[in-house]
Amino acid sequence: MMNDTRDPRERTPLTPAVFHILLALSDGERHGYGIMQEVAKLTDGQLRLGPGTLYRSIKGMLADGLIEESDQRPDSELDDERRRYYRLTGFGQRVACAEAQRLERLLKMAHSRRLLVHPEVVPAAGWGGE
Amino acid sequence: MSLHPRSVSLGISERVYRWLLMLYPSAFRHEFGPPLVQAFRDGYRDAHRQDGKIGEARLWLAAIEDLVSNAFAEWVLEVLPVLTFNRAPQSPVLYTIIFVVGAIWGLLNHFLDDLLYVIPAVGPFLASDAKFTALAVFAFWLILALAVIWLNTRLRGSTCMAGVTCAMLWGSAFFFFLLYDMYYDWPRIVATGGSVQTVGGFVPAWVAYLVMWLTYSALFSFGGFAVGWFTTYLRGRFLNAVA
Repeated sequence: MMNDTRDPRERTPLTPAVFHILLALSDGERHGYGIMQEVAKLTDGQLRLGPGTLYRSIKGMLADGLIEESDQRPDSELDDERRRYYRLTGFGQRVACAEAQRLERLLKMAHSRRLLVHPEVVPAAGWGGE
Repeated sequence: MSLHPRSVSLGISERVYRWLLMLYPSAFRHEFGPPLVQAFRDGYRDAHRQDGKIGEARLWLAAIEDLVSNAFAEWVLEVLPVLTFNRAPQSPVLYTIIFVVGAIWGLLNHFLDDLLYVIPAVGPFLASDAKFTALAVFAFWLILALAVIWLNTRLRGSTCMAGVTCAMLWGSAFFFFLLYDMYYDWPRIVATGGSVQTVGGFVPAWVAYLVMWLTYSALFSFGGFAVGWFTTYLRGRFLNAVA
């Protein structure tokens, strides 16, 4: 594998879709619909990626070298041969870490400004206040 | 409530979705069409299993919103590299040259008109202004198209530069062409005291003239851009075909 010397911080901040896809792939490779399901699960259904958003993000991430297509299948008998599986690259892993650190710093700042001490003032998400 | 893989509603929905993928640019569709359909099919099955017909309807609404917004964004990305000015060389000298050449060409259109009428063989052919104008415009389009093609074949990464050059040259030429026209016509318009008949008689003649002048400039600038864009598009298609 080629040694990627790019600075991962230059690729941040990430869009929510890209960061969630990286998170979904952080524990192993998945196919497109598997990523959609994992993102919905990670966010308790608050973020549901549509196929278009998913594959447009994947297109950009492939071009940037954040993820790559995998040739391996978990079990060829259980799965459709035509499905495309994706996995994180080393650079993708480092970009995900850099983004997580950036968000952590942001969170600390929000804490220091006492923005996290009154969670009850945050409006309910979604239509009809789910 | 699981959905049979060969269910009629799934089959129809999949076919409609596949057809709607035509909204995407062809390159994206060819690359990601099959996985998009696969993801839609999986989502459709799950939506049906969880909420039946309501789930299917909800999935369709989300799919259409997803499709329209992403197809639009993908088209913007497809066209933007051609239209963007970022990759054009930021050379004031080059732009000045383009502007001056355009200005000279625009002004020459008038003098050329007179000169051509002196030539016996050409004079009768150019008896009417309309013919000459048509010929000049045609020649201009041809010269610009050839210049852009030449730039595209000789210079690497000249896509944007060619488009910008073309637009600027075209716009500059017609700006001066019409400015010169205005210089001659303005005293006549002022002399009439603005009583020249215009649409409905409400608009003063000079306003109508100014609007016409600006419209022409804008239209011809866009025309130049269109030539640049089309030739670079053809070049891209050709390079893709031989790659």
